Amino acid sequence: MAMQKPELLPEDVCPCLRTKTMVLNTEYRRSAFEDSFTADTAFFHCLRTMAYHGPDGDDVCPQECRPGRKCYPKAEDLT
Amino acid sequence: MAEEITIQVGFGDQFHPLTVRLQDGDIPPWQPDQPLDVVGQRKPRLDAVAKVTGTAKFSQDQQPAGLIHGRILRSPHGNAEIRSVDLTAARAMPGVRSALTVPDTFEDSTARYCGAEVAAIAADTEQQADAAMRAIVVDYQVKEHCVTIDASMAEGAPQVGRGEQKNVQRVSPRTRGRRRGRNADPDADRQVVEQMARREKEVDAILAGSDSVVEGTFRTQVQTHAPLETHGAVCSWEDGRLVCWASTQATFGFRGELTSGRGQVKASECRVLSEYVGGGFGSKFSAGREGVIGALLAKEAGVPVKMMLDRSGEQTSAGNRPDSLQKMRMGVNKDGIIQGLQIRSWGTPGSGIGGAGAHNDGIYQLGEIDKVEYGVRTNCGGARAHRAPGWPQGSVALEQMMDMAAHSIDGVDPIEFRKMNDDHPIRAKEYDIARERIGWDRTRVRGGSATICSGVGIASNLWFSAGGGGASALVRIAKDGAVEIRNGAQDIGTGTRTVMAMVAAEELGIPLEMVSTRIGDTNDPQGPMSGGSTTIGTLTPAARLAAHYAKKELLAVVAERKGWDPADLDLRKARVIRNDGSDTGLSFKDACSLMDDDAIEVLKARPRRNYAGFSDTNAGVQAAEVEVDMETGVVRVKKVVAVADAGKLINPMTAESQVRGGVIQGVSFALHERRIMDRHKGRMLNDDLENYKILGSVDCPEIDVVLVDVYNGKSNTQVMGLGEPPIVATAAAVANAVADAIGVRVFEVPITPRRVLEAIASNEKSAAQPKKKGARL
Repeated sequence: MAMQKPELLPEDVCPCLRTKTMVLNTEYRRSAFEDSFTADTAFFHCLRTMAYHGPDGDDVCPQECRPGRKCYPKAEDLT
Repeated sequence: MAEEITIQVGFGDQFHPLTVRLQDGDIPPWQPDQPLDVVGQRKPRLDAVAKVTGTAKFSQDQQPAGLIHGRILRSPHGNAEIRSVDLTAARAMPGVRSALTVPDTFEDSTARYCGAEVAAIAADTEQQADAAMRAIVVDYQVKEHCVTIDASMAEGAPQVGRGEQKNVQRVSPRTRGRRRGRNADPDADRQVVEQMARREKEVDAILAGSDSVVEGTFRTQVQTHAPLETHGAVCSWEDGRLVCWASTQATFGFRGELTSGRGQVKASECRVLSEYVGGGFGSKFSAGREGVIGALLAKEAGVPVKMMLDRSGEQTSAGNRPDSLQKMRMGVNKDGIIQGLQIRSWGTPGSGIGGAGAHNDGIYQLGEIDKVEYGVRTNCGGARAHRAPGWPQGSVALEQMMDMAAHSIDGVDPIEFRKMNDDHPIRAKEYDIARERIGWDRTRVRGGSATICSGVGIASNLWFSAGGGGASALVRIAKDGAVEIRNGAQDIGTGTRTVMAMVAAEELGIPLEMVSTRIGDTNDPQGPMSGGSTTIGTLTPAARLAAHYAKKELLAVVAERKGWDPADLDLRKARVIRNDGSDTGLSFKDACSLMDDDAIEVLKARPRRNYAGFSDTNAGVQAAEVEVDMETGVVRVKKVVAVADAGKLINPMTAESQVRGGVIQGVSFALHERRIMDRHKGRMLNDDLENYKILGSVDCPEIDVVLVDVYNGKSNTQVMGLGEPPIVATAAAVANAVADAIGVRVFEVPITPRRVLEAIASNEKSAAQPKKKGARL
């Protein structure tokens, strides 16, 4: 099932990545979300596993959840 | 064209004018000389009676027709692979309606800690669900585990994670760059390492040139989430639409996860209801596996499912504040100015790697800082955001270093030392208030041969949230005079419901009793999550705007029907008045009855941006007074003075309640709370509320809350967040007070009797070198 990617996520970050600042629902959530890339207290989870590791067992974070990873959605699944 | 206005910003006797350009449609903030009838008054919560009489319905209390009960089977092993899960026998058990496995549902065949989810069952009764759980057959491949950071960091430690995951990994500083895929930068991390080496050298040199250098190694323990209402939801599918009564801090976020095409539920429509939430403290932003499981079990069963965690599941799997090991060196000159700080810290977020940082470099001017943080994987339940993530543990270390540094330069008074290194205008005043109210300069029995010794300690808070755009509020004034304000966000116990109503009542010139609030329903206007202490700062400007424009519409009706000038009318004390203050003879209810329609409804969004304002940050200072029994090592916190500010105070009573809650949780962190792991079995030993010690009412100190009202001008209500800042300083102030009382420092939190006695004993061993009694360390 293809779906629209959350608008906050950079183009090539996996659409399954989630973190607290994405549900902030305030105008500054974009900067808060971008800050979380390098924040030392940010947690990221995967919508598929609902855990801090992805279906491939590796960590969930914006640096790792990129194309080339085994569990990254196929192009036809992305809209 | 945006209107430019000049407002007064400041607090106490420190006000100055500030010119701001109002965003389109916004209204000026309340001014210091403006009479307010509701805002600023101490008002009991609108839901106080419902809560204390038990009529308030939490998710746990929901009983939709046909409700059945969900249970989660958890791994009994510290670290394992799940080879297979056989539900055949369980599905055949009496009353079982639905079941699932974690490997099939979540694409995850790892059980990385004792308590990890493996399978789930829903059955007609709780007993039937429990019985069916015992019939699930799981084949595990058990692996070695590590459940403490020391074990995980030890040479030759078993691997906690999978694949190439190392047990210890640097998490800060780190590159933002991509480590995979196109545009990946293979050199990014090397550049960070080189920068780190340069920084270390620079700060080494600064410390070498300082008049005094103090060092300390501090530890804090894992503090598990323990809200009274556990995580979970009651889930029901009605005509293909999912309804969840969820215990959540983010109604819209919860809905987003269950409707996402990337998730497992993929509901085309979902309504989340959270009228009452029994605490969250940072752990309830996601639907979690339990929320997904509840929705899926209900879908298969075709009837509503209650999937709330039991207490053991809550303690092991619903998140925690990571522990910390913090090594610090601070350089300070004789003039009291801090020159630099070097920090190396480690913490475990469970089997993941990020999020376990300690905020130990904020608040003060600390000179040049060299800080490196590491995450340490352990086979334990994962950490989550926990009220002021990273701050209490960081503060425990930093504030003790501040006292040690003050002592090292001829025993400078700790409060004066902080003032020398702190330029926050509000905190400067708050130090003086805390000093006076704790009796800082009173003579106390410290150290030496006395059985009961007492001491005082000080520490500071910080926060930075005036909210932001993105929320809307709807105000409805009915023809019969009933007023309702609505927003879909949740009230997690902080008083959001009451404060929204107060703001609307103030703007409409009516008593609070005439306003009701509908909250916690995603069918209502979009609201924020309750996180980052952003809720009130985000919601109240929208509430005030909606009320303001609803008032204008009502007065326009009155003016038209009476032939009056609408610009000459206002509402005050439930009367329609003229601008000169004279009464028109018309009550609020009379005015409402003039409507042609049934009601006026106004939906307004919060202005997007905040104004420059007086200060971007909250301040806050706490002082603790303790008594220590030198024979038993028992610490009793006698009193905490908590001086706090949160911009303009809407309801001092609920604000005070937030501060009290923070102090209680902070004292609990200082003296009691810690997750105890069985290193052999790999399981949590105190996964209940009997053995996981939380501060009780008998141990609770006197809490003297002093609120500083600040007209900060950041928004039309000028509210700053207050949920998190009050917990930042408490444990640190207690630790400093204990050191002051016993004459030696306890470097580990919680400060248990054993650790106190060990510290006293070590001090006595080194008594050959005479020390000044009562010297602050």
